[in-house]
Amino acid sequence: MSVANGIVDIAAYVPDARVSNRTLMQRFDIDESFLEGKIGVINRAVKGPEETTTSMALAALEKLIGQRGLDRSSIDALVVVTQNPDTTMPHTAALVHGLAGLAESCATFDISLGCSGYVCGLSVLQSFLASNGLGHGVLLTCDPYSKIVDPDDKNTALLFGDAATATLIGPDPAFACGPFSFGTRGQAASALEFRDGRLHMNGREVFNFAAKVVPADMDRLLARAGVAREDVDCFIFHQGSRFIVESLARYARLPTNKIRLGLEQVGNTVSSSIPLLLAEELANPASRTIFMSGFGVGLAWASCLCRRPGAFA
Amino acid sequence: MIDQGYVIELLRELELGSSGSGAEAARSFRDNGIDSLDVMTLLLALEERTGVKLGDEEVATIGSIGDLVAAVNRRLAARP
Repeated sequence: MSVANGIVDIAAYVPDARVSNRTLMQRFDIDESFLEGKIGVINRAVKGPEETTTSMALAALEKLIGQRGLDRSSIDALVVVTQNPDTTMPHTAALVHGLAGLAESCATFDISLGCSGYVCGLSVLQSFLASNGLGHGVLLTCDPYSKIVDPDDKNTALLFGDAATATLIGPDPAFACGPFSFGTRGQAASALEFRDGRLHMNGREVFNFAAKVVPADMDRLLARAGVAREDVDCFIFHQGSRFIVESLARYARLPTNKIRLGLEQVGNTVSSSIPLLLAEELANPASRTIFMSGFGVGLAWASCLCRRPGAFA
Repeated sequence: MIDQGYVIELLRELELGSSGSGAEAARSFRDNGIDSLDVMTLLLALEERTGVKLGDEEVATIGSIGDLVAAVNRRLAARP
């Protein structure tokens, strides 16, 4: 497998404001053990009223540029994963491009995906850079569901948080990514959809989908890569809820110390949930081989392995 | 056909609710320490083992192990 490009660095923008789910327990008739042990979200990050999808994505990009000392003119492609843009025309990547003052030679496009968007976007951007002989690209995720969640809907009101991430893809990566696997169960697409002005989620359908698809997909992908599950240092699943992450760990028979959980103080941040956790693993030298899988809207999924270049057999 | 003991054993195996041995079929799921997400797990396990997938509207009327056993058995009995 080529290690020509991969993940160089990750930055995140998480709004400062938090909304406590504890204040909603009585309203939704749930107790502390259900909130902590099953939903797993104590506080949700919520964007300010003046913040937009574009401004949050820009904030993540600027943070990446700052922490990396990145020359703006070196960014050859900018991709935004979102299904909640501020406008359908132009694309969000172009708006961010303009505000960030990137070069005219920088390609921009959006990817319309939900929770599988980060992993799918990694594959798309890696391939785009490689096939066009380009150097660096940035993958932005930003899907602030506070725009579309009905605060009276028990199925969704306690789950989602707002965040944006920026992942630098380029040569000399910290993590090379691949192989990838993808899939879609389109006949169940209505289980998670925007309709009549708000988000609708059939939690049971989404849970059944994830429980049936993700562990089997993981087994196939590891077999294809020739990697034993014991050799994977950590597993990052999309942070749908604590219940869904722990259920996947149980169905896949994974040790709990290799499972990452990171939604307690932010919530389910859709396509940003995986890169938020992966950013922590960048600084963890013990994490050399990582499996990650995003699943949700579509109902679509995308999984991949990330390995430090020295971890290849 | 399944019976209440089958479901109670399944709860124990899945480590759901206040689990297994103390569960009573006539009590509500909640009184048995089984929350709505535990019910999802239980329904999926039953679906995988019996082949019966209960619809969402039917599930909404099920409040106890006894209700669940009856619903699954109705489906099993209706099979050709």
